[in-house]
Amino acid sequence: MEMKVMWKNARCAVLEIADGGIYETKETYQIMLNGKPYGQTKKVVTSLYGLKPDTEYTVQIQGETTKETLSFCTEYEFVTLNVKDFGAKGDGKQDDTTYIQAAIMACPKDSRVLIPEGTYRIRSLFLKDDVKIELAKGAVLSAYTDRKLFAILPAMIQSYDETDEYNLGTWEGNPLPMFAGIVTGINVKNVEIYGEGMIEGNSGKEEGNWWYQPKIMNIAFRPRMIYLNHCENVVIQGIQVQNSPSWNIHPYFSDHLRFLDLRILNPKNSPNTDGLDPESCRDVELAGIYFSLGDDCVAVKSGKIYMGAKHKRASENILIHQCCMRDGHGSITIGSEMAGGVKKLTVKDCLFLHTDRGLRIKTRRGRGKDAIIEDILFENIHMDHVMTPFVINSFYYCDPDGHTEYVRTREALPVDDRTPDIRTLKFKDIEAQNCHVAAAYMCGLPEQKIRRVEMENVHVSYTENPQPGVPAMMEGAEEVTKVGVYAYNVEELVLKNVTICGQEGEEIIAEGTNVMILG
Amino acid sequence: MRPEEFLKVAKEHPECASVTVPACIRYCEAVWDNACSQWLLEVAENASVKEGTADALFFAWKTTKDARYEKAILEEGRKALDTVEDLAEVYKVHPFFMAYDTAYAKKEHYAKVAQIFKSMDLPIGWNMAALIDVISVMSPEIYEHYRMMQDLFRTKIKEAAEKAGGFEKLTKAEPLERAIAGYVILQACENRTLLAEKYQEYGVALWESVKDLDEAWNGSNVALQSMCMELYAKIVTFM
Repeated sequence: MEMKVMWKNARCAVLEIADGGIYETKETYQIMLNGKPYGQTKKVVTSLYGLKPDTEYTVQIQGETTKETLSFCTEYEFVTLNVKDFGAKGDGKQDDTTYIQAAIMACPKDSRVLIPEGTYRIRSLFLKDDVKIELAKGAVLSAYTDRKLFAILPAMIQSYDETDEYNLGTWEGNPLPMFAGIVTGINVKNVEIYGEGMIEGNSGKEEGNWWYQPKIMNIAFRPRMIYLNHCENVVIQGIQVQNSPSWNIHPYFSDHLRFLDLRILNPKNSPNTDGLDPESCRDVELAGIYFSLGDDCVAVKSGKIYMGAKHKRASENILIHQCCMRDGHGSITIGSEMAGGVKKLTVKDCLFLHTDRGLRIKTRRGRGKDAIIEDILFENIHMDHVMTPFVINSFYYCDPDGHTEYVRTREALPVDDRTPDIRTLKFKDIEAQNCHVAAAYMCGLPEQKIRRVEMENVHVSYTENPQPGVPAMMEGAEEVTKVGVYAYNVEELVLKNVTICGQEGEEIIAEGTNVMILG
Repeated sequence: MRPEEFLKVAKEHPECASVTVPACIRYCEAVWDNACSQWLLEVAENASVKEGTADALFFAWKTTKDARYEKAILEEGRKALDTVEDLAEVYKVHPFFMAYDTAYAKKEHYAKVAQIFKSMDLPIGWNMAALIDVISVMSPEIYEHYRMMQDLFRTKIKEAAEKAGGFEKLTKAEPLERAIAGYVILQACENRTLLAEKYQEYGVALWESVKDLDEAWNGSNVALQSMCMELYAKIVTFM
């Protein structure tokens, strides 16, 4: 067993306890901090709170038979700005936005804005450079739901010399007007939001609330809980985010981001409540996050055709590990807005529970030639009751022209500027139990096949009473149960120690695919 | 502004309904007038894409919420699909068809309409007016096509201005061209295709250059009078 400090600041530290567990450790560990009992943990990614600045700590974790110790020093802190000193009440009644915003704007470097226990009604809070915001245990930022209280972020503002433009708002991959996020960062650097507290979106389906008529834009598109536009060096740690108006955490054209030990919760039937959607972002880490929500848990994106073609900014260098994804549509989704490409995505040591799909790639003709997916690695994943563990869909019927002949035809069309490209994917050491629909459903375009899919040490078994389902959202896909590996238009499908137990029909159904079984 | 005189001209020239009807609609949108709106409801009873009067159906539907008009919109929309590519009928068909496609046909034909406009020659004229009116009723949610249409307009209006020797020289053109130029510039400022801060003044200057012309108001030139009504509606919106 190994333990390391993943991240620390002046007031907390995040440990990774690597004992072979996935999201949860294999046993419960007692924690001692500077010789005193701190508590216990059963999470691989575990946070320590209540630390003091610039202080040496020795942490020891003790299991039944194992023990590990390490030392670290917390960071320096200049001052603490308590929002209550700025006039915030946290009584659940007063609009505390102005007071908390004042504390944020006044916060100097190496300091923290402390939001102590209490319920703080807010509209939108805006971040600035070099701010650390601590949401203490029992602190709730409780958002209003009256959209007239929220600023609008315009979509695209033309520069005066008409040679450039400035994009603020976005919705589903297009520059569109949106309400400012509950927490918004625009062009900010070096930000930390951490603690044991919560951001509560209060969203609901009743008239006037965010989930009412969700497909209709009402003044502007729905806000995110946390929206980071062109930000750098941001850490979001420890907090719980729930009942978001739309996507929960949306970093957009932002780099060097870490999301650690979070809980992201939304009802299963809530609309468009993706958990964490990095869009055209680089160098991103997700660790120790628990997702339970109404859409994709993680959706890695890079815009629709205009933004993809203009900026060609892939989402790349993304590591997702020690997370638990449950109840959503896709555990890890790539797309459907991926016109800038998705590259070097590693997902490892994760649990996928009761989601519709494990890995889900959604793309279609029209996403563009920069819509390249490559170097995708899934390793050491355990899936239970995931309807279909692996789905690659090149015929995703989204957008108004989604049901046109252009998108759905199985005839080879010329490869042109609109054709996406799925290159290399590897799945290794994966156990998927209690599947329902299909082991894998991979559909490439006839004119540009999926280049290479490798599966090594992958074991799939089915539940006794499978629920029928459509394996992929594409025309012609019907409800099925217990289908094996279906591969359509894959140049190389490499299988090494892959077992499918309990399928109905053939283990591997391949069309337009070169299957190589090794070992 | 004397809308009752315009109405008289419009009623006397039913063959010009494809220009008088949109003019009346713009005027009512900017400055509500009971007589104009009543006339538009009468037109809506027999409106058609073929006559270039189908926009009256949207006006009637929004004003009365009578389901008959919505049903007529759907019928005319389906018919319009047969004529969208007829470049001789662009001004009659397209603003209506785009409104229909946006509201009722899931925006499925945006790519087609964008291609049609891209293939056209677009000097200052009725087709350019159709282009900016189409942009006004498009949804930016299909952004690549919406943006292409905006960029197309920006390119074409600047080409036209350059040909004239600059935006300020557009006031030297023939009266109808001036009125159309003024209208499209102000409409583009309103829907943010052009920066209002930079271009609004040209639209206003073009209005100033036509507003006192006799032929703009005496019924001798229905096309000019209609376009001046539309331009006036934009002036009211901005001022």
